[in-house]
Amino acid sequence: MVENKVVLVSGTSKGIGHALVEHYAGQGCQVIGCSRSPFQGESQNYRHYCLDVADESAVKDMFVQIRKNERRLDVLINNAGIASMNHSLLTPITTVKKIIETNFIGTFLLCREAARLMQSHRYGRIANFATVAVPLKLEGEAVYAASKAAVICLTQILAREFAEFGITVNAVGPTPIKTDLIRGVAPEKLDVLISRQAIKRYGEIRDVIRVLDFFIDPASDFVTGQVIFLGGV
Amino acid sequence: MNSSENVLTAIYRAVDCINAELPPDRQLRKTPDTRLVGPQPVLDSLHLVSLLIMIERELEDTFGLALTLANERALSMHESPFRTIESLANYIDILINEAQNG
Repeated sequence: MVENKVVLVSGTSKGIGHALVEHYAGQGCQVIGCSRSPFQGESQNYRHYCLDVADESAVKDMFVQIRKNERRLDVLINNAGIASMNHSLLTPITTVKKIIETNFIGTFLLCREAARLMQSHRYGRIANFATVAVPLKLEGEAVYAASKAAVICLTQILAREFAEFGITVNAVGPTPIKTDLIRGVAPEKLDVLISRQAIKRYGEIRDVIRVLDFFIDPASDFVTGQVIFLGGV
Repeated sequence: MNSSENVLTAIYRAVDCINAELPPDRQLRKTPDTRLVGPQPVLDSLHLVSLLIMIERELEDTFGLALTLANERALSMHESPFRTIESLANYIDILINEAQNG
């Protein structure tokens, strides 16, 4: 049970992040969220910070506030991420930098600051976001997949570094889910991708939540450094 | 209390937090010559990391400065500033001075 836990979710303005706020706030958690845009809607037990996860100063300021207000952090869910479908030969370096900054640097920054707070209680659960684009080696997603491959490597090494502090670090690798992240991707490309899954359907947000619930359960204290890809990839 | 005394006080508060987790025979003494790293360190790596994080937190609360102690400069110094509580306090004095005076 995660009731009464303090949960930080990044990328909460829409899509999966927004659903995670409702899910965990609804379970009685104190949820803190961040995204570049304001949070749309009302949710009890929720506080929002408008920031870019790659902005070290802004991220540090948020954690100072969490330390002052909640005095602890139990769970971090690194959901914030951006994608860009494009052939490598046509990908501008500005896009590459933006994707690496949000997906990798943002994840690293939040992991680091969260673990600094978690270590004082010798307890923490961190869940990062990978993607099936990594094991499937998807053409047209070279930079996005590379940034998520870095997140997987980060997850596995942080799992070892943070283990002695009682902090677990795992990652979930979703299949395509009908959110803004894949809005610009041609349907036929998505059909090809889904045909490579063992279970051939779009993912649902509930599929991701199921894995996250398992990772962040206090009883999952012997589960770390793992990446669960959905859909049988 | 001057800045140097405030730094030592902040370090000792962090030491108190660490000592609360350590058994009686491994308590960290609150004296300037207490060794933190070296051939016969008192602290294991876990508690050294925790101590540095707690000192940074105490410094932030005391001076309002977000200092990073284990930065590249500290790690590349000929003599580690983390040898003793005194050498760490001296290093922190330098960092505070630089942060406050640009």
